Amino acid sequence: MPKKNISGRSLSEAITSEDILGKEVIDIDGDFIGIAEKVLINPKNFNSLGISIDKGFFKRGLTIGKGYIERVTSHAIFLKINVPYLLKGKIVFDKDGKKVGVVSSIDLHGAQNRIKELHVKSQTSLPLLKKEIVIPNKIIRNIGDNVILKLTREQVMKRLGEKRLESA
Amino acid sequence: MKNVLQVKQHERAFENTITLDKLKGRHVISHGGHVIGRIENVRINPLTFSLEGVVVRCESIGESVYIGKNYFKSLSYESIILKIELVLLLKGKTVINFNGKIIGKVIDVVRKGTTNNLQGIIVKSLWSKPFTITRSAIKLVGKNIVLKSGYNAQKKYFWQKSI
Repeated sequence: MPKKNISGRSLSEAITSEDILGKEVIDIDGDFIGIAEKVLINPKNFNSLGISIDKGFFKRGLTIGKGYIERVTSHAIFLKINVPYLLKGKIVFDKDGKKVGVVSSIDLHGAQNRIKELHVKSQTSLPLLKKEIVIPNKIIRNIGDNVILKLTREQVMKRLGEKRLESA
Repeated sequence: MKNVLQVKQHERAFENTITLDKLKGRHVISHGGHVIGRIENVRINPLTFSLEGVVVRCESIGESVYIGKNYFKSLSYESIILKIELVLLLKGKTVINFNGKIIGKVIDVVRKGTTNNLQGIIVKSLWSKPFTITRSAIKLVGKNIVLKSGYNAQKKYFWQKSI
């Protein structure tokens, strides 16, 4: 039996939280990110703000704004972006394919989906010599399964050395 | 580098060349940074004496793959970076339809000859017979494969007769 509607408009096209919660969230690369666990709503105007994603037992959750959601389907929620936080643990190669290190953390421009800097832990056999390199977004050539830079490792280190001198 | 005497005409200077034996065992990396495997051997054209390609041991598919030099983006002593993603590595990827439903896994890839041009994928799910999905029905290829909205092939189970 159809329910009575006192909203003043047709709600036949609307989806409910049940259509969202518990569904897989898939990014623009087709990668499964996690499960939608909450729908975030603005308490003032009741507009939806986004969704909260459960990435699993040992991983921190993630919140995605509604502007980054492409569509909600019967089986999943598709995003129109790659989630930059998933870069953590990926290998960074220089222009020549030499390993620079592994991404340890990511800095974004505010809460936007734009990478500002990657913090990369360099890989050496001696743990004491392990150091963190900050890679600005403008020297990243490509991000896919791993990260490839536009410069060689030596050029990156030289740039970082120059920056340190400038700031000192 | 040891100084060597040079006997050459129009070829590149000795300093601007690299030795092939150092390439063996180096990584081959795809356009997106995926480490495809290590170089098993380097192939030379016996007529032109130039490098034609490399044979790479791909552990993910358990096979050796010969990759032609036209797919190389850069070559150094550290590795070879390709300008493509190898479509052969789609094997094992999950195929999702437009609604996000998993419809199976890629068991084989159909290419145009021996090139890297994808023509289609052969997909199988637990209870279905293998079926082919053409390139035109694929929306995107990334970590997994997402199909376009129009794709609506009927699943054929193994107990159904093939026509």
